[in-house]
Amino acid sequence: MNAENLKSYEIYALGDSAITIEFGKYINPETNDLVISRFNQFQENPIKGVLDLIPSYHSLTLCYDLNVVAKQKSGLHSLIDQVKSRLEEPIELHTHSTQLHEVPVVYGGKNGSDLCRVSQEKGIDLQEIIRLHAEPTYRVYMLGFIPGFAYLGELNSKLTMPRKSAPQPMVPGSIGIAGLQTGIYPSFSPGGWNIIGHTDYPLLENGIPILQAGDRVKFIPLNQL
Amino acid sequence: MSLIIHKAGILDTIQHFGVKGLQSKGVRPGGVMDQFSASIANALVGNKLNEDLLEIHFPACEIIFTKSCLISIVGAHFSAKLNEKYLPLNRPILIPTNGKLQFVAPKSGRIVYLAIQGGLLGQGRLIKNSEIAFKKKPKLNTSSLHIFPWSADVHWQKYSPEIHVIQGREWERLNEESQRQFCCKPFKLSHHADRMGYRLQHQPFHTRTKEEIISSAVNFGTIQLLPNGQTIVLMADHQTTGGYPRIAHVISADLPKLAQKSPGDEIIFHLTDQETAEKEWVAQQKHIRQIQNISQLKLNEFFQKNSNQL
Repeated sequence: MNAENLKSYEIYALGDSAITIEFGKYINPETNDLVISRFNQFQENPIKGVLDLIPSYHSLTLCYDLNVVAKQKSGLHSLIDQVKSRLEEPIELHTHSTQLHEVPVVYGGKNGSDLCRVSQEKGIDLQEIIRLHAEPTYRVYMLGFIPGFAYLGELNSKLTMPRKSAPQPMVPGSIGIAGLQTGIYPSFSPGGWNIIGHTDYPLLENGIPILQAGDRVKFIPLNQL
Repeated sequence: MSLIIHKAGILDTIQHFGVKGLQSKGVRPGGVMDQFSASIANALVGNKLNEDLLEIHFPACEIIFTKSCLISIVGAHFSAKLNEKYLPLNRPILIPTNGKLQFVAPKSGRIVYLAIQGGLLGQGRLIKNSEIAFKKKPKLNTSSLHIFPWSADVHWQKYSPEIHVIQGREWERLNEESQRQFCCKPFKLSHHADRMGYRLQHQPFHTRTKEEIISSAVNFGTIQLLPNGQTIVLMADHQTTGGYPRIAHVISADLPKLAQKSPGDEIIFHLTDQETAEKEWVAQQKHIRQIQNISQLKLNEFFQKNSNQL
């Protein structure tokens, strides 16, 4: 775990119609608690011209209406000043929810087709990979990418893998790993993570994500290899 | 009170101008690919600029109008024909009852917008035999085609290869040689190009570090660097977050131009800054609003004069 100074942040432009506030450099629960708290703050008391908010592991992105922002006297600087003064306001930290999801997983095979490659590249046998992946109780750090995709952390650093060189088609329920993250694809989509298993656990209900940021997830292996 | 899709196209949709406020749930904003052409199309028929309209790719759908109405066609040049007569782009057009609209040959551009006065009901893909209802009952009734004598100035659609970008958070990851290549070398748009993203063709870029980044938000126009050194520009149906390095972002004012590029077309990126991006955007929006104001005046004038005949 990397301790972070929760008072410091950095703001950068995400193109000409969004800015990102980065609250830390690492994946950790405290930083993510701060992201969720600041997200709630901006959600409840919106800044004029801000159209959308995207919380992530360690950052919060504000998508703004370029028409509104460009009309202000000093353009984007005016918006950034408002954001900074909001961030000066003290805030009660969101503490993670107690909701625990037990997610059954079939590792390897047709729907976990990268498991063997991960095993070879890491020099770790299949059974140990399953043990290491299913060992932690993960936190849902954020939803994103596509509706209901939950980013879980933190993966054991022994399992760190780069993303695939190019995105590939994914089936719903695919469990992937990339960097220090693991996640479940809720629907058909292209994706670049290494797929090691599959679950039938429901991820969407009428299109609404079941896992929420701050929830916890425990993978339950269903098979031995 | 509707139009009927007589024959389906490959990728034709009723489009909105993006859903805002749900990206925290992973719901992408979507919306039109070329906001400039779509806004002009709406302006020409007297609609609010962000009214829902048809977004059409080639091969395009064939449409039968069961009731006369006022339309405009803006964007790609697909040789639109109404009952065997060619229709011009960028003008208001009165379509007679039972008119049949076809797009027979792609000449330039990639996406065309069809706006209908009053707007359309419904959402999503246009399939064969689907019937799309008009939001408002058109008051017009004409049995002959009428092409209005004025047209919108769409010089913003200039089909030059220059696309302006702002540096991304991970720009510095590119090594010097790759940064130089990115800024001035012409690239080609690959065949992997759809509403989610346009992939580019070039020599692989090289980075100073292979360190993975933590997934974070992306935007319409974000240029991601894939691990194989290739790049993809995220388009209207982009995901909300991603973990590939964001080396640059296409400025909003140049997204329409990029959206209209077809596979094989050349693209040259130029670095610019936020201030220029804001200025370009403001100028483009001003141009659209001017067209909207003039169109409204001219349409009112026309309909007052011809109220007996329509």
